[in-house]
Amino acid sequence: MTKETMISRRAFNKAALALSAGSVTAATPLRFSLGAEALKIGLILPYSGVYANFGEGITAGLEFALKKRGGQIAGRPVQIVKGDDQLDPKVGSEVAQKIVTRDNVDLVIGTVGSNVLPVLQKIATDNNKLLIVPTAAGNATTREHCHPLVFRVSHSNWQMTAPAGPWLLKRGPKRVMTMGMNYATGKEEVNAFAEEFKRGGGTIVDQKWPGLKELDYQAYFADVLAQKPDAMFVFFAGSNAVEFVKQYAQAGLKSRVPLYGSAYLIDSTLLPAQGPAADGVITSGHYAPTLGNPANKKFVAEYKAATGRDADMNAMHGHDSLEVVALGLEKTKGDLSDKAALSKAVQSVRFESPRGPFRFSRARNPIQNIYAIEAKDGKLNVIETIQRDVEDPTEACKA
Amino acid sequence: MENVGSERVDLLSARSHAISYRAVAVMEISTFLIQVLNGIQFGMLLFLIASGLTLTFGVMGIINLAHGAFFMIGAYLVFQFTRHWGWPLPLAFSSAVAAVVVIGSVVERSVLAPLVGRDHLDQVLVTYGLILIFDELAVVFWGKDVQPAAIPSLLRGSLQFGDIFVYPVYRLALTVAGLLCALGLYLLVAKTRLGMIVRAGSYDRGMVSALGINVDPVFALVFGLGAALAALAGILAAPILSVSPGMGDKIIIIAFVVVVIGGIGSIKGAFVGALLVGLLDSFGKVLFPSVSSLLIYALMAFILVWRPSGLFGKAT
Repeated sequence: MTKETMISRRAFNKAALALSAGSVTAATPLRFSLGAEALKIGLILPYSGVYANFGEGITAGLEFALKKRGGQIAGRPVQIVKGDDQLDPKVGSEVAQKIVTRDNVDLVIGTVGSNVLPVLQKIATDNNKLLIVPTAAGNATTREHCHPLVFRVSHSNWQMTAPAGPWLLKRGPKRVMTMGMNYATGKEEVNAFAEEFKRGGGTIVDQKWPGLKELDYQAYFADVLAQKPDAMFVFFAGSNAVEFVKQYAQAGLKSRVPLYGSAYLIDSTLLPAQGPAADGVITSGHYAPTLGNPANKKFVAEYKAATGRDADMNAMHGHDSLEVVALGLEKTKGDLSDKAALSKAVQSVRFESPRGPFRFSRARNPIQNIYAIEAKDGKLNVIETIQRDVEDPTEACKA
Repeated sequence: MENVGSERVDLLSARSHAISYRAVAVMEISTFLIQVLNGIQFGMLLFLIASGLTLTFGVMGIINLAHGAFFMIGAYLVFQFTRHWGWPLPLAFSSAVAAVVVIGSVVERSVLAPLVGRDHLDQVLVTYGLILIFDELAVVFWGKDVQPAAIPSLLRGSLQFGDIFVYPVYRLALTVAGLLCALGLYLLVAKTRLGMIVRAGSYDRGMVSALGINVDPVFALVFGLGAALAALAGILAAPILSVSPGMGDKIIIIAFVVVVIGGIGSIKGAFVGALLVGLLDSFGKVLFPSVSSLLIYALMAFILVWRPSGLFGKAT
C-alpha cells in the first residue's frame, strides 16, 4: 500500500464520502480542508536499560516544547506514539516496524543508541518517513549513510571532540594520553580529538581502550604516571564516567595530569555522583545548562517551571527535535506528502537553540558552536567557546 | 624512569639488551609494585564476593546469581542511611550489613531452600529472576541515576613515595579489610566446629546429616554470612565504583570465574583464585591491553582443562 492511498483512505473516511477516494489529486486538497487532522509522531527511544534516562529526558524536553506550542504543529494537533527500543537493535526493529507501518505515523523521532539507529533509519526511509535523530551520534549517519529524510539534531561524535585538538594544543599540553571506552562512540570521539591534536603538531603518547564492563581503572593509572603525559583526554559515559572520574581523582592524578574529555564525561546527571572529583575537569561539547545566551536562559527557567526538573542535554535535544519538526512543517503548511519539499523545508530550518545558533549542514547534521565546559562545585560552567559554527565533514555524504 | 631503566639494563647481557630494555621500559619497579598492589586490592574485593558464592554453592549446592544483588543492596543502603537519614558511618555500615543478612535469609528461606537438590538450570533461572527484581527495586527506590558514595575523610588522599609511586589510601584500607576478612574466614572454617560442619557439608552433605547434624540452620547461617560478605564488598567498593542499579551484575561474572578457578566450595580456592584473577587483570591491562579482557577467561579455560574441578576443588 502506498503512502498516497493510505492518506486518501483516511481522508475518505473523515470526509464521509464527500469525494471519491483513491487518486492523489483528490486527496491533497482534501487534506488541506482537514487542517485538524492529527500529526502522528513516532517517538522511539530507550525507556529501559542503561540509557533510560536519555529516553526520559528527551521525552520530557519534547513534551515541554510541544506544550509551549499549544500541542499543535503547523495547525495540526499532535499525537505521539511511543516505543521503547531498549537499546537493542532487534527490539528496536520490531518497535519501529510496528510504529512506522502499523500505526502509520507521519514521521519518526529516534533514537539514542548508535547500534539501534541503522535499523530504525532503514525502516523509516524504506517507508518514506522523515526521521529526526535526537541523540545517536555515529559519524556515518550524516556521512556515508546520509539520507535526504534523515536529520540529526544532536551532533556527530567527531564534532564533539575534534575542535578540542587544536584548542588544547594552544592551551599548552604537547604530549597527551587518551583513554576511551572500547566501542564505536568511544573510538570516534577519542580519535577525532587525537587526529586533530596530531595534525596541529601534538604527540599522542599512548591510547588506552578499556572495555565497557571494566570496573576498575586503577591498573591504568600507574602507566599514566610512568609516561607522564602533559594531559589526559578521555571518553567515558554513564556509570563508567562516574567511576573513571572518581578513581582518577582518588589516585591523585588530577593535579599531576590535568583531565580533559568529551562532554559525556561530566554531564549534569552524573555530576552529583562525581562530586568534588569532577572539579576542574574540562570537557568539550555543544551544550551546558549554564550557557549564558538568552535562548538558553529562557529554556532553562521555563523548563524548570513547567516540569520541576533541571534542564540538561537530553531535555535540550528533545526540545530541539520538536522545534526542528515544527519549524520545518510550518514551511510546508503541515504537508508531508512531497518528500523533496519536506526535506528542503527541514534542511532550511534555522533557529536560536538553547545551545546557540542552529542550522543544518548539507549532510543534515547541525552546524553549531563547541564549548569548553568546566566542572566546579557541582556546576558546569562554560569557560569559553572552543570554536564557532563547527561543521562535521560533509564530503562523504552523497545524498 | 630513565635512571631505573638504565641501571637495570647495565646488568643485562648485550644479547637480550633490546628485548629486556623494552620490558623494563614498559614496567619498572615502582610500576610493578603498584600493579601488584592493584592486583591484590581487586583480588580482595573479588574474594569477598566469591567466598560467599563458593560457600553457598559448596554447602547448599545452589548457584546463586542473585549474590551480586546483595553487593548492590549493601551499597545502596549505606547511601540511604548516610545521605538521606544522616546516620553516622559506623551505624549505617553495620545496619546495612545486618539488613542485607535479613534480606538474604528471607530470600534463602522463601526462594532458594525449595531449590536445593533441584536442577542447576532451575536455580540459574530463578536467581536470574531475582537479579531482575532487585535491580528493578533499586530503580523504584533510588532511580536510575548513579548515586554518590564518599570516601570517609580519614581515608581520603593518596600516599606518595618518589615520583611515580602514588597510591590512594582508601585502596590500601580496602586491601587490608579484605585480608582481614580472609583471615577471619580462614579461622572460622579451619578452626571452629561450625567450620568443620561447613567443610564436611561441602564434601558430602548426605553423610553430615546422616551423622545427626541438622544442616538446615547451618545452611541458613552460611548463606547469611555469604550475604554479609557481599554487602560488605558492596559498601567498601561504593566509593570506587558507582552506586547504580545493576552494579552487582558486572562483578558477579568475574566472581564466578574466581569460584570456578579456585574450585567450587573451597574458601582457599576462592582466595587464591581471587588473587590470581586480580593480578592477571591488573598486569594484563598494562602489558597486553588489547586482550586484557580475555585473559581471565583464558586462565579459567586453561585451569578447567588442567584441573577440571578447579585448583582446590574436590575431584568429582
